[in-house]
Amino acid sequence: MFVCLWSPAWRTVADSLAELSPALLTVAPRVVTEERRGGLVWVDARGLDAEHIARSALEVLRGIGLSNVRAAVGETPIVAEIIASGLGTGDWGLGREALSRTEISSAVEGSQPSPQSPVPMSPLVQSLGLLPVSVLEPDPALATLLDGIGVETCGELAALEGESVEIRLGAEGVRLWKLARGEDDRLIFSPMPRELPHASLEWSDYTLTDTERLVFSMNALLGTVCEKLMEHGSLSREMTLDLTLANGATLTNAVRSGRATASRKTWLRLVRTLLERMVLPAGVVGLTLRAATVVTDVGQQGDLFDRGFATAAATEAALASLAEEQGDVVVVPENTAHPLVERRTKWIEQPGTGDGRRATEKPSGRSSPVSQRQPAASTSSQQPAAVSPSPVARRPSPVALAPSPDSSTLTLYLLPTPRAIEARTEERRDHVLPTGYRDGGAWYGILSAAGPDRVSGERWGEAYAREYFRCIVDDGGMVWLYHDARADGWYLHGWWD
Amino acid sequence: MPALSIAALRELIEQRFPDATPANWRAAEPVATGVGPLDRILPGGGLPRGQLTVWTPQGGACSMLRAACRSAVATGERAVWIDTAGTIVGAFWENGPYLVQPKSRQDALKGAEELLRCGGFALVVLDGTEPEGTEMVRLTRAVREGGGAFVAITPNPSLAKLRMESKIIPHSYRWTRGPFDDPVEVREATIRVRARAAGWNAHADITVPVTPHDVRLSLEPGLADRRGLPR
Repeated sequence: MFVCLWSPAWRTVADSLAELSPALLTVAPRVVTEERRGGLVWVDARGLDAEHIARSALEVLRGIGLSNVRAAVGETPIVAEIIASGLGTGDWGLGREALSRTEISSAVEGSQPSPQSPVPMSPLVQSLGLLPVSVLEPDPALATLLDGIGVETCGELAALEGESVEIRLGAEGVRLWKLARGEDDRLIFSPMPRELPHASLEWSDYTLTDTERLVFSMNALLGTVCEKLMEHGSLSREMTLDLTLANGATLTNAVRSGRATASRKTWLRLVRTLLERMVLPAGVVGLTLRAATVVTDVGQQGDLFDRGFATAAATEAALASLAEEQGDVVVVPENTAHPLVERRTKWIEQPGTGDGRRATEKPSGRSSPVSQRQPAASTSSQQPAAVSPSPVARRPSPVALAPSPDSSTLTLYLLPTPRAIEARTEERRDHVLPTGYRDGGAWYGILSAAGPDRVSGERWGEAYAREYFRCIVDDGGMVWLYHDARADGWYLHGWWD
Repeated sequence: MPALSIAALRELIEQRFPDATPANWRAAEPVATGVGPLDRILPGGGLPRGQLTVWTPQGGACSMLRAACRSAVATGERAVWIDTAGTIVGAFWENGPYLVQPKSRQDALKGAEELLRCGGFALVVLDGTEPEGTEMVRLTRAVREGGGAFVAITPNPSLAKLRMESKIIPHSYRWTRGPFDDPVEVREATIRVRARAAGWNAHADITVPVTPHDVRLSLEPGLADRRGLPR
């Protein structure tokens, strides 16, 4: 049911109708105002006792000094507004329905001395009967046209066939035709914007600057927000983090995930990365976390014939868990043209969830006990400074052609730190050629060696001068040795595998 | 009729039924490596899913397995290479398979277990870490759960369904010679690969090219850099 309020004296108590909304919101959940017909106020009574709402609204308006107000209750907005605005008085001439209309008319007339009484609407009304077309506020051109074809009342307009109205009078004519029939599908009250999950925390006795403590607090807020997301079956793609500072300022940051998710672990990792990169001008005294972009979890759409499709979510979860526990371990190379191969590559985290790339230069040397030519696993002395966003489990794109049978190649592998070895050499005209080397207590004979490939540089800094040799060892492997011309030492740098 | 020896009988069966594979290999489609001669010697035509494969280090193992990773990606699946020792050279890494560089042996094993268990990877290769004892058991369980193929590059063959060995034949290298007939660049080499499993033993010689690299500063890539260095 729609409750419509109208008064010829709105402006006596308020400059605009919107100023009446706060008072009316005490009796109704929603209030909408329109400037049409001299000012209409709609009160949302859907699912409620409309007559009670209307009477309460009249009481409220009387309380603020508005006594001359008409309230109408109707099943459709057009009926309610016509009656409230006083245009629907008199016999509407609806035949069988006229009886109920007469009652209503009586009610309306009877309400003249006390215009605050709500006017109920009969559900049997099927058109607006004898009311003139002008109550529908037609377009002037259309009004002229209707007058020209002899349509004067809403009943006459409603009696026409819809198809002929559409052909002769167009879209506006159809709109009027529907209103004349009492069909009004206007959305007086637009859908309520959903309140997105949010959580906040404030404190006053101290300020926080330590990242770990902030992350700890954020963990609690994320738990609340993610729980609310999951309750609604939603996923979030972006969250907004507001940090209230002790100096009164508020830092607002957006945290984005490449894939919509409600996983607290994933969001915690993203938030941690953000906080660790942030420079705070003052201590933090409050945190607010809001889900900014929320989507419904409808499942992933994709190609059924994509073999990796069904496992994308599981893969991403595994990679995300890996990144959270171990840091930025899923990496891609960023290569330069440095003459030294071990300095050509900067390993960066696999691009993924929206925070973009963050370069984490892997240490070129690790202290690692190695056996023969195969270095063992080592413990890095440098830990990455931050937990990185989870890489997205991208869907690999199938290649149309099958891979070539020659897709395997022997490729160079490098020791993290070149290993000092002892070498036997033969003199050549301007260099020495290795003929064997000892590594880890065992001697390896070199069947043939190609080189030297000389590289030198950085005389102003960490100077290097190396002579590289590709050597075929007697067990069939190919190793990469170099002679350090400055230190006059031999090193095993890598091998082909 | 003279009794046939087992070896002769096996040879006869291989001749009569060249495509026969052990019954336990037929459970799931194996992961093809994309290297024709290698797939032909693998039971089922590829690396077995849901089971552990062990490949002894060196001898061209990485070249075959990286080809297998690329093949898995090319067919629309995922592959991951766990490089514990950090020996992968970025300049020669082709994007496609995921590359994980854990910081410790424990991290490598935990990561491998997690990635195997998730079931999202058709092929997981663990390089630079040699699982032992219960670690191997856990990985075997994880790979069975996940259903992908798992290859550990380690000399320890325990619990492995398929054992692979490869060796580069020492005198099989083919060189590009310089103008003075000195070896300048290695073009290709031949790898002998052997695959062993219960009721299966096959080998093949596979010739593979060698990825060139260039650290020289000379203008002519084909010439050795003979400039002197300060000593």
